[in-house]
Order: sequence, then structure tokens, then C-alpha cells
Amino acid sequence: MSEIRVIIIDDEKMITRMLKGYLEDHGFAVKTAHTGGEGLALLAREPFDAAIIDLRLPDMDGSEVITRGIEIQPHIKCFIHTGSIDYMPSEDLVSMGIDLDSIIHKPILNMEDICRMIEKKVKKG
Amino acid sequence: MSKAKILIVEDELVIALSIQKSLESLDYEVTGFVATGEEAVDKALGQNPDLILMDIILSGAIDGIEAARRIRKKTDIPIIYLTANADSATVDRARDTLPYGYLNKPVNERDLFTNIDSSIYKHRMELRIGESEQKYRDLIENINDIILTVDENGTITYASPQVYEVSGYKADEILGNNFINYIYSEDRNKVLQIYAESKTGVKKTDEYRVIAKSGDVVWLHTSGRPRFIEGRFRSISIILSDITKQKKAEEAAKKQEAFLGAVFDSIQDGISVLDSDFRIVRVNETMKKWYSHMLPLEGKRCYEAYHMRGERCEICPSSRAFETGKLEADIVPLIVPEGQVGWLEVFSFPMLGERGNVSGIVEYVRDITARENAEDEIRRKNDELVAANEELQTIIEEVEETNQEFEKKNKELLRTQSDLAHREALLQSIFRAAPAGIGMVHKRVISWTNKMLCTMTGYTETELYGQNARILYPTDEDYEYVGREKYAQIDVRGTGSVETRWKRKDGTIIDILLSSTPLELSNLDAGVVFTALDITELKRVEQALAETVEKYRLLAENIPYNMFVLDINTFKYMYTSPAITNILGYNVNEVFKLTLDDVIQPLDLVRVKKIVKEEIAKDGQPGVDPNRIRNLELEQIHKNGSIIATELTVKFLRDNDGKIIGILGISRDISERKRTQIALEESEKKFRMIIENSPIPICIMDNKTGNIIYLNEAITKIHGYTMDDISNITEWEEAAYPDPAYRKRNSDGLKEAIRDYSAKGRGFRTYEIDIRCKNDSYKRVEFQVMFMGDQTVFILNDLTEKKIQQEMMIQTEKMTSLGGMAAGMAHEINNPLGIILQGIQGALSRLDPGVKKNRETAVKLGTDLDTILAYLKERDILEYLNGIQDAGLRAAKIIINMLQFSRRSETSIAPVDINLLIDKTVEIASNDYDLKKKYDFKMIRIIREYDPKLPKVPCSETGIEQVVLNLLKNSSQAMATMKTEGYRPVITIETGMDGKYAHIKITDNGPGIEKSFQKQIFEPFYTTKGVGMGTGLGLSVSYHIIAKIHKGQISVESDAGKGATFTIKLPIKRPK
Repeated sequence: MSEIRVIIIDDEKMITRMLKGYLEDHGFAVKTAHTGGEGLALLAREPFDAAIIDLRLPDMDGSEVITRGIEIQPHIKCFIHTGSIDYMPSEDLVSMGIDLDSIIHKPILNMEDICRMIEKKVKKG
Repeated sequence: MSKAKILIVEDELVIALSIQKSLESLDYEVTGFVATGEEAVDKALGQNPDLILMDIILSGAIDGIEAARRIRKKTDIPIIYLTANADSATVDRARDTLPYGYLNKPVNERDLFTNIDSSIYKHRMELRIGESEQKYRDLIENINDIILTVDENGTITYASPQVYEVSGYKADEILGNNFINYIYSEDRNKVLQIYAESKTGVKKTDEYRVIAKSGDVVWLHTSGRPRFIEGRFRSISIILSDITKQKKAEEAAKKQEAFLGAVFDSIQDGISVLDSDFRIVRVNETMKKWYSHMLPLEGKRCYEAYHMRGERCEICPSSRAFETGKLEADIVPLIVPEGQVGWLEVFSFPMLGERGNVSGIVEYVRDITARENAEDEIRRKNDELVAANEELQTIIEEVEETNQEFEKKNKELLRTQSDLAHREALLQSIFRAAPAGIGMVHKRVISWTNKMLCTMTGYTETELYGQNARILYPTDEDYEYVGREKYAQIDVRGTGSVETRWKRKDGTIIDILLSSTPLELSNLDAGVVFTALDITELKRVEQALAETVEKYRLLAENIPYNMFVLDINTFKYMYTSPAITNILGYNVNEVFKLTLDDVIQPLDLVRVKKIVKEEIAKDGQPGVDPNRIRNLELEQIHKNGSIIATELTVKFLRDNDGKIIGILGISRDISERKRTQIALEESEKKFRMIIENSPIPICIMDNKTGNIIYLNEAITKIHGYTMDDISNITEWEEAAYPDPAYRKRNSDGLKEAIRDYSAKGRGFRTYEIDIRCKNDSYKRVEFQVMFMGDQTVFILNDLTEKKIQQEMMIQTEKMTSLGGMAAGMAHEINNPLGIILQGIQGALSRLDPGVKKNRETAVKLGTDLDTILAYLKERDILEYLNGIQDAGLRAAKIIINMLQFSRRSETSIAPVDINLLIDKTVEIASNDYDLKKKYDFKMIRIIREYDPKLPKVPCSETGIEQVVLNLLKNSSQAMATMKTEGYRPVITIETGMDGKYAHIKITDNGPGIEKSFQKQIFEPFYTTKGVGMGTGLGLSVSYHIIAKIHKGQISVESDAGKGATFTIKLPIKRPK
């Protein structure tokens, strides 16, 4: 099986770096972006299987990135990385395939779980 | 003579002893011998010897001479010096001490004897002389008389000190002066003669005057004794006594004597003084005159001299006086040799001696011969008079008889006269008193008037007499009219009466009622008597009355009230005012046909009749006012048949005798009023109902009395008091505000507010206050006070609930804001936390030997992963990394919990896993460490006894969390107060289910709660914690959440000292 390609969009550089490091260690191919625009540009260029998107981005809302990203790559599995534990996805997002399992709460306590989450979602197709 | 005592002062013992021997052989007594001067002095003063033998040279500080001096100072003991040498200095010194002699040593016995003997003798003599001298001196100086010694020249050589007392000259003043200088000028010759005679040896005594220093004359009695020395006159010693006083007394006595004598003799009456023997002691000239034939009278017995009797006269007042000791008097004959020549009145005054006995009689004698004769004469004349008198008597009796007849006649005359006068007086007074003018005319000419007529007309009598009556009339017409009328009437009736006008002198017109009667009917010319009554005033009053009556009639006719009079017997209308038409519809005429049945409803008619009967029965009794009125409300029948409500005010109408003849009344139509009344009553009822049933707590107070006139159920529900409990505002204040100061503030505040309102019309006030309810609990309430005229309305608002709600809201707000803050903070922390956690995870991952890349990279770098790991392990770095991760995880968990707790409070009920909820809450609680509140939750051991089969319970997660947290906090705070050694705080949490409820039991081993407080702890504001340690609302809010929102139960079981268990019961079925 080929590696699962993941894009991580978060304005915290350390977060992206560490996330990238861990995921790569565990067989994922990871690219990072630090703004919504950057992320979308990347999404436009390359295929990804999954995206981990911070809700709070400097230039646009994370949900917008998801919406536009899915437009570009309809099969991409998006994950929302948020510090807010109250977060509920809007109906639009839900209709695009965002469910409770798509939400990753900060701080990530167990990276293992995240790997599995991503695998599960991607493999589901 | 006793032995003389001698003291020897000699320092040489041998000599002393020798002298002693000698003395003793000479029969002297030796008191002792001393060797020193000091001893000598002591012994001399102590023993008091008769003589001292003093050696001049002595041992010791002082010699014999000094010792002698000292001794002589105090006593006069004779001292003889013993001296061996006799140098002049010593002798001089010795001499100053006045020794009695010197003896040269060695002393022989003979010298000793002679010296001593003579000294002792001399001393004794001197003493005696001294004594005599003293005696004489004392004598001279103490006698009151003066002793003067005058020499042959008349010079005063000695004067005793008394001379000062008598003359004012001191003795030494007159010494050396000639005594004659002090003699009173007139007596000088006499004195010189006496002096001259004295020189011859005659002892003379005499009296003469001297001039004192002050110039006063002093009488002296002198007795002089001449002294001759060798036959020659040398001096006179004169003793002088001050006899001034005596002399003065003598003179006074002489004068007195002379005066008395003169008086005595000048008295015309006789005075004879008898002694106790009836012997005449003294008589005056008058006595001597009367008894000139018996002179001398002195010495003779009184009865001999005065009465030529040999014995006492019985009638003598003097003998009586002797016996009685009182004044006696009598008349005695004056007997002279020729016989009795007169009469004497004798007054005998007894003289009382010292012992009260009669020592003599003073007879005071008056010649009353003339008087006696005169008395005889009178007696004689008297007899003549008596005789004459008797004659006179007879004559008088005759005259008497005649007189009586005259008297009778006189009386008759007088009576007649009196009658006449009486009648005249009567007439006069009638005329005078008559309030009418009375006069008489002859042919219309005024012949007589009374005073009143003059007053009425203003004319005097003289002005009217002779005048034609015409002058009294204003016009001819009046005059003619009167004349005609008057005489016409007289013709018919014999007297005429007519009203007319007169003109007074001053021109004013008065109305007169004239009444005329001729003296003789048949002869008019004889004169007509008329009376004129001034009826001007009367006429005026009549007019006024007529006007008033008219006024009242108009009034009666026009007021809307009906005035009526009913006959007392028939009850028919005797009179009615027109207003009856307005009230009952009848015309005035129609009314007279009516009976009471027609106009009053049957029921009321019965009542009316009863009242009338009552009043008639009452009438005339004491204390019952004849003018009393009664008010009645009746239902009367209108002409058209409708019922009219009327109000009557009635009283009895009486005739002049006070007998009831009718009923006088006023009636008013009160239908309108009644309607209004009913409407008002209805309205009031409505309002009352509204207020009664209103859920708004209302209470109404009357401002004047402070009485609570109304309070409704709703207000009682709040504080428990009913109108029975608090009938007055004061009672309310006492019940609701137990603290007197608080109460007073309140009460004053309310009173002020009411005052404010009356003054300024401000009508509405609101204030919050704590009140004590009937069940002793306290509530915070809000009063809304509305002032409405005489009453004040209070609306009460129970704020307790509100307060709880408020607090809850505040809590919630706090929570929310806190939540917001927490949320924001959490967010911020999550990122760096994420970095930490991810970093560690990443780091650990890259140390994992299972990851190929790791191994490869190690080898690439020339080492191997195992070594690196070994190093990391060895240096504990792996541990550190693990540690950091744990820490990060813990921090994350805290934030999660916090965020979860601060979620917007949802009271939405949803099924909740209770056990999980409790754990979460315990987690939160364990982060609660408050230095201020002094407890650390982490120190508490938590024992969980969860029922694993407990189903999810529908509840508000946040709400239950809040309650559990509140209980945990309370427990930890309570347990923090336990100070016993070895105490460990434990909280046991048990969950379970029984029947319809799931329960949570939270038990602590703290101090527990006393039974008496257990009820109160759920009350709002109840707290045992100190200020600033909590509002005391926690449990009340918890109670609210469990009981009100969840319809569950929260309760406590506890005993003081044995911890507490709080039990929360939640219904398993969803609360509606």
C-alpha cells in the first residue's frame, strides 16, 4: 500500500513540524502549509488523501479551506484540528462528509490515535 | 532654836575635817563638805544650809568667789570666805558677792564662832526686818486710804500709791510739792489752820476738798498724826479717805429731806406718821394747826393726842391697818377741847418693814366738815323735793285723762288725713309710674299732664299747661280726626281709643295710641282724662315681623325640602310646603285629604306609629327635652305609586301651654342618595373581593389611628400574621422588627413619609426590609407604600425567592464570564500544550527502535540507536521526557475539565451518567485550592461507592455538577476546621437507586451539623462561615436546583461531632 498523503495546514510552525515528523515516522507522506491560501495552492497542485486543517487560520476560516479544498479534491478526507471542545460542524460541512470522527481536539494527547483515525477514514473511501 | 546648818567648801581635806570638828564642838550641824565650786553651788541650792564656809581657792574650774556669786544669785544664804591670803584684787572680787565675813586661815575656833554666830544672827534679823518691811509695805500699799507724809514745810515726803486712785496723781508726781497746792481753794484756809494746830501736837481729823489731776473735786476725810523728834515737829503722817461719794450722798439726802419737808408741810391735808406703838413720829403743819392745843404731838400716842382718849379707838382705821396690813379708811370726828367741831376722813397706809410686818402707819387726814355739812343740806332739800313731787303726781294724773280724750280725736283726724294722703300718693305714683302719658284736657285745652307725657312729647309741664292739644299734632287733619273719632267712641262706649300721630317738641313724629275718658259722662266740659301710649316702636316691630314672616314664607315655599305639620290625633296634614309636590307628587291642596297610609309604606307606617307612641310616652319626663328631634328613614308612596326613599326630621309642635298639638317635620327625597349608597356598597364589595382574592399581598392602614383596617390572605401567606395578630401598626412593628433601634427607625420613617405625603402630596414609596415572620423565620421583603388620603396601602413583595434567583443568576453570570474567560484561556493554552505533547510524542517516536529510519539515521551518524537509548536511559533523559509528557497530559486534562465545566449553563435536561459526572466534579474540586479558605481538596481521601448499574438519570449536567461541587466544597471547608491530632479528612461518595429515585450520598467526617441548625442550612443567607467566606447561598441554590428544577430532594443527616451526610435524590423519570 502506498503511503497516505496528508497535508497539514496550521499557522503554528512547531505544530506542523511535530505533526509532520510523527506522521512521517509512521509511514505517512506529509506536506505542510501555514496559511489557508498556501494550503489551497498546494491542494491545487498535488493530490492528497487527507488534510488536517486548523480552524483558526490567519487569512481565512479553516472551514472555508475545507470547502474549497473539497471542491478541488472531492475525495480528500478533511480533519478539523481545533482547540475548541464545543465545536460542532455546520450542516454544509456535515454534508461534505465532516462528522464527529473528523474532529481532532487540541492538544493531541495520543498521536497513535490520530494515525489510526486518518487511516480509517481514508481506507473507508 | 535649832542647830544652824553649815556647809563647808574646802579642797584641803585635812582643813575641812578640822573645821568640821570645830563646828561640831560649837554645836553647829555640818551638812557636809565639798571640794569644788560646782559641788558647792549644787549643795548650797539643794541643802539650803544656814551658812556656807567658802574657801576661795578651790579645785575645779571655778573658785570660791565664783561659786559664792552663783549661790547669791539664787539664794541669800550667808557666806563666809576662808582665805589664806588676802590680796586686794581678790578682796575686791569677794566684796562684790556681799559676804558676811572673812576668816583667815588657819581658822581658830573663837573667830569661827563669833563670825558665824553674828552672821547667822544678822541674816535672821535681816530676814525679819525684810518680813516686817514687807508687811508694812503690803499694808500701806493695799489699804484704800492714802498715806501722806508732810514735813515741817508742808512738803510731801511720802505718798502711798493709792494717791493715784483718788487724785489721778502718781505718788512720785506729788513728792516734793507743797501739799497745799492740791487743796480746793475754799478749804485752804481751814487746812492751813489744821496744819498749824497739828504742829502743836494735836491729832486732828477733818474733812476737806482736794482737786484731782482731772480737775474734779474730791472730798477727803483726813486724820493726821504729827511726829516729833526730840521735841521738835518734824512731820505729819496723814491718812486720807475718799469720801466724795458719801458727801455727795449726804448732800442729796439733805436736799431730799428739805424737799420732802416742804412738800410735807405744804399739803393742806394732814399727815401723821405713827410707829408700831401708835406713837406719833411726825406730823405736818396742818395737823399741828388742828391740834394746836396738844402740841407737841410727836411722841404722844395718837388716840391721846387726837381723841383725848386713853385707849385705842375702835373705829380708828389705823388700828385696823395695823392688823390687816392694808389701806383702811374711815370718818372720824374732829374733837377739840370745845367739843366736836367737824369731821375728818382718815386714810391709814401701813408701812411695811423689812420682814413684811407693819412698822408704822402713815395717816392721811382730810377735813370733810364742809362736805358733811353740805351733804346734810342736800338731804334736807331732798326731802322737800319728795313732798313737792307727790303733789305734782296728782296734777299729772288729771292732765293724763284729758290727754287721752284728745288723743282719740287726734287719731281719727290723722287716719282721715292719712287716707287722703295715701290716695293722693297712690294717684301720684300711678301717674308717675305709668308708662303712658296721662293728661287732662278741658275743652281740648291741656290742664294737667304727668311726667311721662312730658318725656314723650319733649315739652315741660309748664309748656303744656293751658295749651290747646293741637300743638301735639303734626297736622290739622290728625287733630280733627282724633277729635271726631274720640268723641264718637265716647258717645257710644263712654271711652274712646284711637291710633294717631303726634309731633314732639323737636319735630319728630311718633305713633300714639290715644285713649280718652271723660270725668263725667254727662258733662264733657268737666274734663277728659286721656292716656297716650307711644307705639312707634311697636309699629316698627310689627312691620319687621311682617317682613320676616314674608321672608320665611318665601323660604318655606321655595326650598326643595318639604315642611309639614301633621295633626297629632289624626295624623292628617295641617300644613305642607309646596315642595311636597317634588317629593310625593301631590299638590298642596290634595294633601289635606290624605292619610298616613296613603303616603307611607305599611311596614314603615307601623314603625312610625310606634315611634310616635314612644315619644308621647316619654314626653314631660325629667331630662326629656321638649324640643327634641328624631330622624327617620322611610319608604313613602308617590302619587304615581312608586316608592320614594325619604328621610324625615321631626319634632312635636306645641301650643302655648306646652301641650302637643302636632308633629312638625322636614322631609327629603333620598332616593338618589340611597342609590349612590347601594352602588358604593356594591363597589366596595367588589373591591373587597378583588383584594381578598388577589395574589398581591395588600394591607391597608388608617393614618389617624394606625389601625390595620384590612389585610388579605396573600400577605398573610408571606409573613403569617392575620388581622387578629396585628390590629395596629405598632403591633406589626413589634412583631416584625424585634430590634428596637431598627424598629424605631422604621416607624419614624413611616410616620415621616405620611407627614410628607400630607404636606407635599407625594404618594408612593418603596423600600426593602427584613421582617420577622410569625414562625420566627426571617424574610427579605419589599414594601410598596401608597398614600391615599386618610389611608395608606402597603403592598408586600417577598423578595426571598427573587433573591435566590438573583443569586443564582449572579452565580451563573460569574460562571459564564468565568467560563468565557476560561474558554478563551484554554484555547490559548492548547496550542503550546499541543506543542509540548506532540513534541514529546514525536521525540519518543524518534527514539523508537521499531522505526527503521531511526536506526538508519543513528548508524549514518556513526553510532547505533541502542547506544543512544542507553545513554538517554542512563542519563535519565528518557524519564524526563516521560515526565514532561505526563505533565502535559495533566495540564490538558485540567483544561478540558475546566472548559467542560464552564460551558454555557444549560438547564436542558438530558440523560446523564451520574457516576461519571461525580468523578468529573471531583476532578474539578481537586483543583480547588484556596489559601483564603484554608483547605486543600487534594488532602482529602475520596472513597467512591458507585452503583455500577445506575442508569442514566435525566438531569441538567451543569446543575448537578454545581450541586455536587457545592457539597464537596462545604465538606472540605468544614473538615478544614478539625484540629484534632491525627485527623484525616475523608469524603465518601455513594451512588445508588431506590425505587423512583437515584441518589447521591456525600458523607464527610467533619464536625457535623447540630440538629437545631439542620433545618436552616438550606435557607438563603444562612451561613456559619465568616464574612467573606461565602454568601451562604450555595446550599439554598443547590436546594433550588434539586428541589425546584429537578423535582428531587436534598437533605442532610448529621450529629454534632459525627460528620454529615448530604443526600441528593433525583427522580429517574424525567421531571415535567
